[in-house]
Amino acid sequence: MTELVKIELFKIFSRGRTYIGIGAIVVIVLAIITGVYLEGQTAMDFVFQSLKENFIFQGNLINAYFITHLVLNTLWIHVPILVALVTGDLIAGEANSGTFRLILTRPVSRTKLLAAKFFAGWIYTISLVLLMAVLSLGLGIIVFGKGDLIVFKGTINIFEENDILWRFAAAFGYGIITMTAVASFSFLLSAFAENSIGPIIGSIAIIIAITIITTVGNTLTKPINPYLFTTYLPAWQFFFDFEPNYAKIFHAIKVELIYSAVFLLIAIVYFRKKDILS
Amino acid sequence: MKSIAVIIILLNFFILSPVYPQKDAGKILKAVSEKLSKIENYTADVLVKIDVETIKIKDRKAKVIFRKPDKFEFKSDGFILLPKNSGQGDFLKLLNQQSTALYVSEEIINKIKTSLVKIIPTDPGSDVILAELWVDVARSLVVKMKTYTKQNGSYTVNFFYAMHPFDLPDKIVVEFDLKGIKLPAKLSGDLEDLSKHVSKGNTKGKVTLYYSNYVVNK
Amino acid sequence: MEKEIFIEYWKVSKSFRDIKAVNELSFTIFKGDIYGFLGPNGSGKSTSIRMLLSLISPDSGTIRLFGKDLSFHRYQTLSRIGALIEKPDFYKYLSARKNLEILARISKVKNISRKVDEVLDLVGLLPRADSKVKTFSQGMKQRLGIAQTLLHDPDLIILDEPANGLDPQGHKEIRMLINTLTTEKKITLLMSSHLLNEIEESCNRMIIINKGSKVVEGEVKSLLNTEEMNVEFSLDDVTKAMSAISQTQWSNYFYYTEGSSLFFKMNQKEIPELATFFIQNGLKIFSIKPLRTLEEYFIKLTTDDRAG
Repeated sequence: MTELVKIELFKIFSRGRTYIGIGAIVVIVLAIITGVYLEGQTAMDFVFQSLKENFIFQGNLINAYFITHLVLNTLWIHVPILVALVTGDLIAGEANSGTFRLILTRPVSRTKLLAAKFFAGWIYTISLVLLMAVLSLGLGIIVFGKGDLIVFKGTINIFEENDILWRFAAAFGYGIITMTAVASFSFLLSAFAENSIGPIIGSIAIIIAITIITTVGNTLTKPINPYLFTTYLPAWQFFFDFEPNYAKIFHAIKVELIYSAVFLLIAIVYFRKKDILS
Repeated sequence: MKSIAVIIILLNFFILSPVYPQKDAGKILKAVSEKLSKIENYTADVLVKIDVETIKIKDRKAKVIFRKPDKFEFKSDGFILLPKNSGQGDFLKLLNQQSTALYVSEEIINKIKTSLVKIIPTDPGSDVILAELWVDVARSLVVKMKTYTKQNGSYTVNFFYAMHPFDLPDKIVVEFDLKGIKLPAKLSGDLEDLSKHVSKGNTKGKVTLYYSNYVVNK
Repeated sequence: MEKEIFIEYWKVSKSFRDIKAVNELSFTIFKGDIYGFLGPNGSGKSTSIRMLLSLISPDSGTIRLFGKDLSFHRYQTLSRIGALIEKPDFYKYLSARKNLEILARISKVKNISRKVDEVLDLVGLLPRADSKVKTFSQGMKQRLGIAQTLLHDPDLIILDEPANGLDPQGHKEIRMLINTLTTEKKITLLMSSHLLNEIEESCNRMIIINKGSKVVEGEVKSLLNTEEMNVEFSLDDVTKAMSAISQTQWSNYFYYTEGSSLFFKMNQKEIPELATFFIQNGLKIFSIKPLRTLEEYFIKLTTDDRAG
């Protein structure tokens, strides 16, 4: 199994498209840093102008933590696309290229092969999220330094510097869990497809569609919202409540993990019996 | 007839003449000023507690540095939000500017017997329209202040004093009206119902400043 | 001495929706065979081979490899087989060497580096070992495809249309390779093709399938025996003809009927005798078509398939 995982990782990191994802993360972080560098103070002034009547402020809120919090918002759409770009190709890509004929005629279990593929895809997913964290914090500290964190979440929440890093650790950790669900979903679609375009675009399109439906038609979908994995994609925000609601957080984690497991299980069960015609 | 006359005289006495003799507002304020003028400078630790519906921030520690006549400076390691009208600075400015002072009455404020003095700045450029000071005449200390301004509405400051050699406050509570805050548009995907949180209109805000470890005139 | 059975394919069927791709197909391959799997395009060859390699699951029937049921002993059986199905598709973004190393690791080959060099050398691709596969010609990819079948020293090699898409020179190269494998390395080989001459040149046993069913199976020499031929009699009443021959010696020559035709294996000299027999039994003969070799028969099958 270890050998299979190493092979799959080698294949993933030998492909150009993998570096699209990595490059995109770098570009996103740099774009956010640049944007905040140029316009961040203006935006902050806009927010605080209504408070200036009653308050004076001291201290710098444009800092590495502000950047990192902004970067976390890309876990909503941008990073899922970059994850699906690779995980959606893991099975369908081999079907499309015909390489399953070489691999599956060898003494290798289909279950182990798929598990290895998923695990390698998961490692890629984790590395993307960690890269995001390290880059945003690292470059953010170099360019803006550290300080307190301001979060706009219905209210203006200001966190002390010593109360921040654990929240980011938790948020990025949670981000790994949600991106695992995204990876599993695109992996499942990949098992059914003979071409990777379908699973890549399909998984993102479905996630966006469900999100729009549950947002716009909230009254109708309210009973099922707590049980949809798309509902909890942005739930990393819970860690930026003053007193995080751990019951909600654990529920969110549970939902994401269950969906991940179910998606993976269906993919494996289906693929074990699938006729390889390509 | 005789009884009617007594009633009229008594009514005149009670209506036309105050029951208590008139106090001199100027004297009251001068006593407060003189007391404060003994303080050239001081530093103190201050704990800032913000109690505003639309702002969530933990209590912050800062250092306050005062220099005569009315210069205040706050230093903090992190970000700090301070009430614009932090009390001491404001009434010091008031006392130092041209104004008309009127004694109004005696009132019990925070279990302390105080004299209410109204101050109307005469400088047309002043943001303050009217200020009310409740002064503990026995100790020449301002216990409460309510200020009406042109730009920023009204605010109330309560001062609490422990037994300090220079009678500096150990607690100041500032209350004010807060206009509806503009926040960035809700991010799609926010999980909480924002209607629970966003201020729909004006609300009340309160900031409490706890002072300690005064070092005076060093 | 009884030969060891390497492949036992017993009444295997497979349908895709309403199409019966393989219909109760049975054949046997022995150790040492160079076995030809012949049929027109769409006859079910690839489907049959994919079922042999567990790429496709049969609907019914049994497949035994090296005496073991494939369904329950997939790992043990596939470890003794090297296969190339249709055109060889590799990871184009990797070099030939890297592709083979990956496949060798999956097959748990020992001394991977040495083995990869060995098989590349055997197929004449060692000088291009580090070139990306996307730069390879079709012939080079085909040779690389054969190379990967040899990585784990298999007992049986399965090649599905190995010369497909190649020019005459490519054909020749593949034929020479196959010759090397079978004569020098004594590997048992199953080779499918839609070209009879490929089978004729290389194989000792063969099967012809059409529309998923076996048409004929046996030694290539005897099937292509020119002394004996297949003769097609096209008659007005097949039932009457079948009844007429049933109690006579002609039933021994008869082997197949299709439409209004009866097919007989017989010598040329016997044709007039049988023709006379039918006439004497009141039958009208529309045509008599002798098929001098199996090739003619196969061409007919192929033509019918295209027309149909």
